[in-house]
Amino acid sequence: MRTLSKTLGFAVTVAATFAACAAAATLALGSTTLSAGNAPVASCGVSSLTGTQSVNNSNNVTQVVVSNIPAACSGDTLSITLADQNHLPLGSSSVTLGSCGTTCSATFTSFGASVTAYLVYSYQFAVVGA
Amino acid sequence: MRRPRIRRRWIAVIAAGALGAGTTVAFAATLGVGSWHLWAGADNLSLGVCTLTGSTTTSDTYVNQSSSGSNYSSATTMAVHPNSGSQEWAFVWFNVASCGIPTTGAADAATLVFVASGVPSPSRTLTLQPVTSSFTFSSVTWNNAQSLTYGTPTESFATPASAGSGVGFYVTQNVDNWIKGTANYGWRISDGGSNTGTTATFYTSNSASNQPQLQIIWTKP
Repeated sequence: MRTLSKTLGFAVTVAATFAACAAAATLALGSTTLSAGNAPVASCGVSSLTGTQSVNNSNNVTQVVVSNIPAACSGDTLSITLADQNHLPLGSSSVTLGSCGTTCSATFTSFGASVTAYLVYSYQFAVVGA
Repeated sequence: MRRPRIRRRWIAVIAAGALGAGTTVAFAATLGVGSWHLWAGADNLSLGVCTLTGSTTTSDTYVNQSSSGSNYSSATTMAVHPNSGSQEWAFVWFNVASCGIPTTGAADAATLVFVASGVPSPSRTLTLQPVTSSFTFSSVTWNNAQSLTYGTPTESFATPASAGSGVGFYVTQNVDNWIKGTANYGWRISDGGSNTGTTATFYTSNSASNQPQLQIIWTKP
């Protein structure tokens, strides 16, 4: 029992130390105030996106251009999925947005498979980044 | 003798679990959750179909090397002939703009169909390619057609086996480019050249039937 108590005590101490470090890590070192709580995950200012696709003579999508992406999304990853009328994926792609001026644009040229243009009923977008 | 060994094993398991829990909390705490971006949404496309045929939306003609100053824009058929010195080229244009497709739209499938009024024997392979310089259908002749420029061939196709038969193929990329703003001067149909070939003829938009047709399936955001 003594061995068990000692070991458990040690483990709890170590866990508490890590948790304390964790709490410390949330502090903004340069700030003079201290707070804690939950922060919502915000978008980079996107309210909607639209794509314009180009098509070859085999009726396959060769590219989709997405423009008017807010500059605050610079460095984020934009993913696109071309979906059919049942919202099933036909192909997908993602790009990392570079540094932008007023707005960003992205060009997707490969979707992992040939995508027949007239089967595409929607573009599904996701923007993720720091 | 065996009990202490079992107890030590449990102790080790509990200790490892506690350590793991502590380090997990520490790792998660290094994420600045509040600084991350996340957005998801969809752009649902609208689908449309536009069919262009007839003289109100189509212009077509041909030019003839052996009658180099003549214009045939009111003819009911257009000819394509390969032989040097008597070549004939056909031209056709559709008013794609009349479909009202926005420049942010796209052609998903564009199909061009001609119906033969006369066929060569043996069959010939003809070339369709976009015209990339301006001209006027009502005044184009063999002579002034020599200064026109052309884009990459869109399609090579065999002439139909018999008069009255149609030939159709996709021209989606050309139409898509025109929707997006590239100037539309139509296409030329020509024969690669030979001195033994015979003439292929197709009905034009001036014909009472079997006129050329361009059907566009398109989408817009």
